Amino acid sequence: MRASLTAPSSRHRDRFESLALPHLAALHRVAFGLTHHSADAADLVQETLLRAYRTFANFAPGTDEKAWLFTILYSIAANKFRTRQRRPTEVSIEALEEQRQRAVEIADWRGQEEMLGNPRLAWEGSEVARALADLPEPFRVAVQLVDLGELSYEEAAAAAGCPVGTLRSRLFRGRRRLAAQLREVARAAGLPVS
Amino acid sequence: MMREAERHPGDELQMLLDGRLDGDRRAAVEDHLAGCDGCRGELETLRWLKDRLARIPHELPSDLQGRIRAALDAEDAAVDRRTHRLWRWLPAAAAVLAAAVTLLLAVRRDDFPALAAAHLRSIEEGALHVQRVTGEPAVLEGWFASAGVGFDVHVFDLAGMDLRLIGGSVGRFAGGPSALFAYRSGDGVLVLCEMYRGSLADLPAGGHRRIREDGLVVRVFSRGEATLAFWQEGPVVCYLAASGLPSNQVTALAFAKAEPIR
Repeated sequence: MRASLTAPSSRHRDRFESLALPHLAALHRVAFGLTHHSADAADLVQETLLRAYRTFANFAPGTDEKAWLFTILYSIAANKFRTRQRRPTEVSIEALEEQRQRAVEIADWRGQEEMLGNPRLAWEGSEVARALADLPEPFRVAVQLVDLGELSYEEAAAAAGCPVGTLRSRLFRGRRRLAAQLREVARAAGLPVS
Repeated sequence: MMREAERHPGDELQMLLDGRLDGDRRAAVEDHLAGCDGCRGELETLRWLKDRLARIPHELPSDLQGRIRAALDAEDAAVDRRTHRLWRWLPAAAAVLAAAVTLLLAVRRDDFPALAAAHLRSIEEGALHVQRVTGEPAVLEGWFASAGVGFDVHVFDLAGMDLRLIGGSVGRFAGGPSALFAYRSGDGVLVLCEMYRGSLADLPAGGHRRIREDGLVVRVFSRGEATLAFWQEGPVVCYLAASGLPSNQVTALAFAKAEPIR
């Protein structure tokens, strides 16, 4: 309301830019992970910053601006996903993941570490990115927010709208599942995998 | 019983990796690692993964910053135009405003469900953010007590209904302080609860469903896509609001959690 009654001051704009623009790369990185498309990611980041700017008058100094921006970004993305995927969920994703987790449990972590360091595998970023894209959404979002967006557990939990404990559990299971998927890549490349 | 040093640390390995283990817990995990090849291998695998994730090639579109500045310029220009128009029409606007205020005062009671829907929308759109982020109802209740809202706040635990507490804020409702807290479901639906000193009698007399069950009366309003269920708990009015749930689910939540003064 305040913004519509007073002309925007350049100080207001400068303050917003100095607070928000340093997070541009992290926002785009996570947006790209959510949309898998560079143009869609740019649109998502632009919409996020525009919405943040419109409500900047309500932003309380001292609030964690990074968590605030990622909360807006994830809220826009979640609404878009919800609109695209409005269908009944037959089995909860966490229950499904439990079943899968049992199938991909890694018995030999020592061997896994040696396999990942094997010079025969060049491990291009695209392989890791593809494995990340294949994770079920809640686990992928946790990994993206913490490892790509460099958010703390608390900031990532606020952005994803879940308790910190849930975020931590999803992050751990997401990372473990990623390791298992990369083991399958190594197996396909002909490396001995236990 | 398994000794501490023999117990595999599980997800404490990632806490160590992410620099979130201190003191005794850190020492205990490091002790375990010294004697456990498997956990050392898992930690190194997690470290390798974190490093590779950080190195996934990522190119920021070169024109993105320029695009955003252009969008902000357009937003500033639109606000400028609105301000300009407002000044030009100020005398007429003042007369309209005076009439609107008179009308507003006359129908003030009608505003509360709409105000509740506006609060829900503000949180959904990120315009209003919670001041205290926590998933623990007891922690939030303690925070409300120290923030001095002036009444006891009971923060519902809705985890059994797949609704995770996000956190809460002290706000304003019906001319006094309010306790506001929000939940999100697994598929992203936001549910808002707000409590304030007041009376159900201040709500609009018509245009709602009145459901009475086991001594509790819940008044259910619709505003846009939002469903709002209001009930009385002693001197405090509570409401639950959601726009992504069928209205009967919102009402069922109210009946499940309300504590009427009987």
